[in-house]
Amino acid sequence: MQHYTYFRSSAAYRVRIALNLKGIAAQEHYVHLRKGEQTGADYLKHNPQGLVPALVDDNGTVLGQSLAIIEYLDETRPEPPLLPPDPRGRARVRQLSYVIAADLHPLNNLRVLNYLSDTVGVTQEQRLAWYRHWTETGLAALETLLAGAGTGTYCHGDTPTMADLCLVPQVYNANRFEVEMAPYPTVQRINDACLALDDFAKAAPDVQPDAE
Amino acid sequence: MSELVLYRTAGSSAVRRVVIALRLKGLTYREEIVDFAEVKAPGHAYARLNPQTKVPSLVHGDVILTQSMAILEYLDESFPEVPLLPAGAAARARARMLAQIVVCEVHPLQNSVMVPWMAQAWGTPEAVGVAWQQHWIVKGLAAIEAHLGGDPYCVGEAPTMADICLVPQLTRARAYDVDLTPYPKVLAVEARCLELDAFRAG
Repeated sequence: MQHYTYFRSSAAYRVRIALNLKGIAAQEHYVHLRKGEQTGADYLKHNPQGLVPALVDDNGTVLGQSLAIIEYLDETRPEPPLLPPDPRGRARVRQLSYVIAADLHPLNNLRVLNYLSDTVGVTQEQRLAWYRHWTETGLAALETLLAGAGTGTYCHGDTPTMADLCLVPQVYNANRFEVEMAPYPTVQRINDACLALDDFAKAAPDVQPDAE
Repeated sequence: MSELVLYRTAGSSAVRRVVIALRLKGLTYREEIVDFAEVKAPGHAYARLNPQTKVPSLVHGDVILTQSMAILEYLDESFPEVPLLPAGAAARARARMLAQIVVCEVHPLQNSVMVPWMAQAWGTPEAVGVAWQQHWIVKGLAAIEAHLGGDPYCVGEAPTMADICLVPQLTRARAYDVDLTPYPKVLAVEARCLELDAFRAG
């Protein structure tokens, strides 16, 4: 299995954790987003959208979009499961995952921040205010949802699920941009519980071979 | 069977995804109209269903669901008749990938919240806001066009989550005057979907 990754990409970070939890030794290829390597012809062969992560399975299946990749890994390598067995629990894990992956993260990734600076013409300070506003909105929603029934040591119960794979990279990002985490104690507690696990710690951006 | 109740507004693409799925599966449901001006007031009961005070929410008996993709997956697991995902892990992943290009990369940037927010916070001119919406829609549609093969629907011979997310996004694209001629495969899929009643529902 081949994984096209960039150390600081939240979406690639999610996939790295999934691969680690499932004990899959994927061969990593490093795509430098800040240098624009994702738009090179060689890379576009693997991922026409020019995004990381991309995963190429041994049977030739080429996949993009982190949650699609994680669901694929869970269907093809079921142990340990990243979704609970019951439809209600699975819906809750997917709900938490999409609060991050569809509502929070899309507003704050690098290409969006670059568009704000380069095309909308906002200042560095406005760009940071945008980042913090949408991160805080998303984390507040997450905190409320995690206060509900179903939360355990991790987002859902006492084993990590896809929701934790989304939460940890988002907290890493929030910390990078110095978002005040005190209003989100459950998010912080779960983040810390996850990072106490080797499979999460080894996926962290700062310990990747392409980290700068 | 427990009653299905859909909380919706009139114009939301995310709501329309769920409507299409419910109708494709032939499920009976009741609609409740959500008035954002009302439900965003502090302490409103809707926030207990949907802490983000967004739409859609779907209530199925005592199960409360939010986030359209989580709802689609739940419906597919709970009511497997007329599947929303194809057979085979690779095809399923392709359908989810295409759906997520819309849901995670296009829709959140061009929805009805971002441009008003920019206008209010920064005084961003309307033309810059429209260009922003068009930019993210064009990027997403180009990606989907590049991914599509020659199947009748996005993936295979029947509609999937990918089509369910794509078709409402095209309605938005037209509302923002996006030129759709560079995406012939996307348009062919849309035309085929619109032959089905479920996709024509608002």
